[in-house]
Amino acid sequence: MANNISRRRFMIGLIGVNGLMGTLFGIPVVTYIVAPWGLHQPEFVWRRLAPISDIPLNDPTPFHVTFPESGSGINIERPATCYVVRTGTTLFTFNNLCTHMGCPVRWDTLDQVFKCPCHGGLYSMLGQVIGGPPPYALRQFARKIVREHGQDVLYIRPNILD
Amino acid sequence: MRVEQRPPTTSLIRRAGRYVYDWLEERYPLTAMINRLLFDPVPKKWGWLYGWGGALVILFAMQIITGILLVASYVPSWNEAYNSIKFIDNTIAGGYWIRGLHFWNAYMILFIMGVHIARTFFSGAYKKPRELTWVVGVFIMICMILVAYTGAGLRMDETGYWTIIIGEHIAGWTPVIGPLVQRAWLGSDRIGPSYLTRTFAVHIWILPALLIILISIHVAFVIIQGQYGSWLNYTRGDAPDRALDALHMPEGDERESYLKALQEVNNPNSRKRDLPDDTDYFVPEHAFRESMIALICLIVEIVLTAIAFNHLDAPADPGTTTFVPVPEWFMLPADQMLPYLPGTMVPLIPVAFTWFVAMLIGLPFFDRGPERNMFKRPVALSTGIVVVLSIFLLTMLGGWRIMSFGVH
Repeated sequence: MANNISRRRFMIGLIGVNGLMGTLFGIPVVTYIVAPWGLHQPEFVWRRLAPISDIPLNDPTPFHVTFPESGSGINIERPATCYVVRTGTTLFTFNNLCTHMGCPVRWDTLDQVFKCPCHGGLYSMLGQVIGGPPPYALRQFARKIVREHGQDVLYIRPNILD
Repeated sequence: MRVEQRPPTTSLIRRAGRYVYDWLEERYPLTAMINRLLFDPVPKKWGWLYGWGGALVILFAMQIITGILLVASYVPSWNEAYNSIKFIDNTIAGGYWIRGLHFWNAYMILFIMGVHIARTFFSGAYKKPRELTWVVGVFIMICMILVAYTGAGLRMDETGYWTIIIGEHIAGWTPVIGPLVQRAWLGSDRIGPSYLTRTFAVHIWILPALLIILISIHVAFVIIQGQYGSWLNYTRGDAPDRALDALHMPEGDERESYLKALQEVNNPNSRKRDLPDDTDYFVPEHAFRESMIALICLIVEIVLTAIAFNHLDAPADPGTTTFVPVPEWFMLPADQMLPYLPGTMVPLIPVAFTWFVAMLIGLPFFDRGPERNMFKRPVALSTGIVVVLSIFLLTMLGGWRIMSFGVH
């Protein structure tokens, strides 16, 4: 049964042919799984929130908006919540997803903190971490202010990670 | 059975049965297979400790069947998934029961699997020559946890959605490969409909196929090597371990009892020459034990389905500000450790998971002592008790912490 086949021929025949087949087959497989680079995502859109003068001072106000997403041939509107904090000098448009594990953060008026229900993360009104495991301050939506009918109106738009 | 030894019979059914049997016997080693598989010796005393693995196979088969039925009606689309589940619950005849059984059976499998792992650990059944059985078992455990986890995400209710979000973030925190894993799971770089279809593919195809392959290998190893039990089952020391016999290496205290049992096995006049007195045949005694465990589990699941509403929260709302995400109960021990870990050390979590799994896989390779008596292995015994107790404690603490969120 010993065929006296040379090592080179054995390697080429077995590993070469199957290796080539595996590589050719593997390229589209891996591409499909990992990198839908050609996937056309809808452009990030601006969503109108409210005139700035309507937003109370020093009181985080939640706004529920939806952003278009697509995938698997479906177009959906994915809800998101933006907490707008207007102090005398600054304006924050916080994304309510915690920077730890992405849980929905909510403002607690009694304790005057943003609380994350999952692992006890706490953020101040200005979005800084004051307790718990979150590593970074609350992320913010991109925003712009548009003059409409003599009023300054706030618009938000998601960032790449939202 | 040789044809000459059979008594004559006139019953038509019996003759038909014999015809089929002989037809198969001429083509395949049917008698040898029946003797080897169905009349395999298993421990008699404390035999119930050894039935959990077989009960798991039965429960897993139930899970596959209910899963197939569910997948015939479920729609894995972001907007329609929740409604299809309500349709299954309310409109399809028996849909509520099928989904209830699928749901509770999943938890039952995880619980029974924990008992099985604990039994295997404490009885030292991972030691030589059964190391590979244990390693395959660890992979089965990982797949089972993942399949239960992805199944929760398919409901597209609040609990399921946020469970997946947290999991996807943990995957993203992995050093080096994190974003790649996250992207492969989500199907894009944002959360959208693709993640649901991919989770669906993982839950109904990839993991079940892996599980069927791994479980088959696991059971094949067990059958090939035999379940002769350990010191707990025999009054005169360990019975001959057939696998060790094949290696011609009885070890430690087993040598004397091995020689005694070997005498009986080699005695041509012994009626049960393959079967020492302290063992049963697999069929019917042990198969009965395994089926009985599965039956009790099934009854418990039916009761739970009847009295506890199938888990379905409000539809998933990614912008919610009121919902408190609750992790799956089997994730509570891990989740309870998260609040105490500073945020910058979060990339250590996947590293810690990997390390823990590597420890489990490597267990038979750094615990090489031949002793299987639980009370003569103080290190293993204490480690096992500490692990089991800490899992219980972390689960309780995690549940208490979640339930008391928002209470001032």
